[in-house]
Amino acid sequence: MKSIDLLTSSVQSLTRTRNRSLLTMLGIIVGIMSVILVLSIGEAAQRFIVGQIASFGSDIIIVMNGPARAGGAPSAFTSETLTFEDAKALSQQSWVKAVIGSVEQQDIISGNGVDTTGKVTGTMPDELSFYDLAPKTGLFFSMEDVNSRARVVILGSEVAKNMFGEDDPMGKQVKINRLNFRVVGVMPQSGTRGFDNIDKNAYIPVTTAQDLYNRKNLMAITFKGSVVMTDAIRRAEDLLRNRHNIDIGQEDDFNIQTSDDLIKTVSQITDILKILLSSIAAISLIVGGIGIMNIMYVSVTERTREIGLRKAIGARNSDVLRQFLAESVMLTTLGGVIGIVFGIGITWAAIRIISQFQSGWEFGVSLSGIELGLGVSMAIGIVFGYAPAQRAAKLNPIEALRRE
Amino acid sequence: MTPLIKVENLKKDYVNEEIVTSVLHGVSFEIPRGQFVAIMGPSGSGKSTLMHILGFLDTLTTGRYLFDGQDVSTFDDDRLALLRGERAGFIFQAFNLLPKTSVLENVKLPLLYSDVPIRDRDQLAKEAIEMVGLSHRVNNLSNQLSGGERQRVAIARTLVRKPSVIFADEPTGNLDSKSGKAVMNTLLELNLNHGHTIILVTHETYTSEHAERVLTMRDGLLVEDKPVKNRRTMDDNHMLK
Repeated sequence: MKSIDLLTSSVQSLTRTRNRSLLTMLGIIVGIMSVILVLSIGEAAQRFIVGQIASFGSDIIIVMNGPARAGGAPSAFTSETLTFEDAKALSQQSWVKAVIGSVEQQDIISGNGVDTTGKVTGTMPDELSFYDLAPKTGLFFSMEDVNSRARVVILGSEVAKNMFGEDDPMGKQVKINRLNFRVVGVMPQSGTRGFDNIDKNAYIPVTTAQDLYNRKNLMAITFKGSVVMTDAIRRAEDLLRNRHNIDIGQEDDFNIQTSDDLIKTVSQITDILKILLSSIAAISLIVGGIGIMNIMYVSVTERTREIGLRKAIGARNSDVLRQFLAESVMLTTLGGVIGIVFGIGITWAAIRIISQFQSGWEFGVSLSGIELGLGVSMAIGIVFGYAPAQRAAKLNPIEALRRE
Repeated sequence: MTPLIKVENLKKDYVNEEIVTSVLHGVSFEIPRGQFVAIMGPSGSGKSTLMHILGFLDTLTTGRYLFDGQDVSTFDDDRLALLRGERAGFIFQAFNLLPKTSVLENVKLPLLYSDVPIRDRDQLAKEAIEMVGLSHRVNNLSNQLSGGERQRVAIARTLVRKPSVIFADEPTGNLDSKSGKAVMNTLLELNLNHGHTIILVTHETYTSEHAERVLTMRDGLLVEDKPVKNRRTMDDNHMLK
C-alpha cells in the first residue's frame, strides 16, 4: 500500500465518522493546548522576570541576610544579620559608588482623609543615583535625614494622586503606622521595576523605617562598586566578615549575589516550574491518549467486516496495521495542531490581560512547546493507536467477514 | 493443460481448546480455466470452508492445493494476501461495500493494494462499473443503491483487478428474485463472454443451474460432481431481456 493511498484512505475513513473523530480529538486538543499555554506563559514570565532583574543594571551587587544556599534562593527562615552600620561602612569605602540599605513593608498610608495601600520603602539617598530617579517636585531626603531618623516622606506618583488628587502634597502631613510624616517630595510616574509598581512606593529614611517597624536589621544592602565586580564582591565579603567577626573557615552570615546570579536563579526556578506545570498538563494528554485508544478499539469492532473485506481483496496484515495506525496518528496530530493554534490564541489573550495589570509582559510563542506538542501528539497516536491497530491486523478475515 | 485449481485429498480441521472438529475429510477435484462451477450442499456440509480455502482466505490442514500449478498450501499470510489481491475476486451475500462512499471509490478499493498507478485507477474502475451496467451510478453513494445494484457494484469491485477466478458466496441470498436474476445474468456474461472462472457457493438449485458443473458436498465430503444438463442462459431470465 502506497503512502499516498494510506493517507487518502485514512482521511476517508475519518471523515466518514466526522463527529466522532472531532470528539475524539478533543482530549488531545485540550492537552496540547494546556502544554502550549503553560510553556508559552512560563517563557513569557521568565522573559519578564529576567528583563526586570536586568533593568536594575548589570553592575548591581546585592548583599542578603543568611548564608548562601544551593541555587542561591533565600530561605524564609533566614535570620537578619545586616545592619545600617554595615551599609554605612560600605558607603565609606573608596571603591563603592553607591549604597542602599533597605527595609520594606506593605502598609496603609493615610493623608487628606484618604487611606491608600502602598509599599513603605526605607532607603538611603543613593536610591536616586542607583536607579536614575529624580523627584518631580521637592527633594529626596539626605544622609542627614537618615542619620537623624527624620520623619519625612517622598510619595510615589500614584500614592500622591490617590491621597491628594491634583492638589500639591508638598509640606502636607501623612500618617504611616500611626506616625506623622511630612511630605518633602513627589516622584514622577515611573511604572514597574522588578516586580513592583514603584508609583505605589512611599520613600522614607531607612533608619526611620527600622524604628517604624521595630526592625534592628536591614532586609538587604545593594551597592555598586567602582572596581571590577569580582573585586568589589571580594572586598565587600572581607569588610562584612570583619564587621561580623567571622573567622576563617566559618560560614558567612550573609550572601552576595549579582544580577546575573539572580537571573540564573530565577531561570532555574521558572524552568522547574515549567516542567512541573507541563507534567500536570501532560496528564490530560495521557487521558486524551486513552480516549484515542478507546475509540480506536470501538472503530476496529465497528469496522470488523470492512477489515475482513480489505483482507479479502488483498490487504496484508501490515497494510491493515498501518491504516489504523495512520488514522490514530492523523487524529492525534490534527488534534495537536488544533491544540497548538488554540494554545497560541489563549496565550495571546492571557498575555494581553496580564499586561493590563503589569506592564513589561510580551507575547511570545514557545517554539520548544510547539515542537514538543507536535512530537508528543504524534507519539500518542502511535503509542495508544498501536494496540487497536494490531488487533485489527490480526483479525481472521473469515471471522471478520461473518461478524454482524 | 494445467488446471487452474487442483485439490488432492484436502482436509480441514478446526482446533478449539483441544477439541478437534473435522470439517473437510479429504476432497479432490480439478477446475479448468474458464469454468463456471457451483458448490452446493446443506448447512454444515463444508462448502463455505472449501470456498474459503480455494479463495486463499483459509489454509488447509492436510492435502494439496495447486493453483495454476503452484502449491499454495505452504504460502504464508502475505503471499496468500498477494494471491487474493491479484488472482481472486470475492462476491459476498452481504455485499460488503464501504458505507457513505461512492460507487467509484468502492470499486477502486482493491487497487489500493496493487501496483496500479493512481492516474489509471479511475479509468479501470469506470470500465469495471460499465461491465456491470452501472455507469450512471458512478458518483452515487453506496447507501443510495438498491440491493441488486449494490451486488453489481461488488461484482465490479472484483473485476477491477481482472482476477483469474471469481468466488461468489450466496451472491443472491440477500436479493429479491428480480435483482437475483440480474446478478446471475452479470455472472453468466462474465463467464460466457469474458471467460472468467467462477466458483459459486449456493444452496439454491435455481441459482446453481447457471453453472456448467455442480459439486455437491455432504458432511465434509464431495459426494457428487456432475455437469448441469439444462444450464440456464441469460435468455431464461426474462426480466433482463
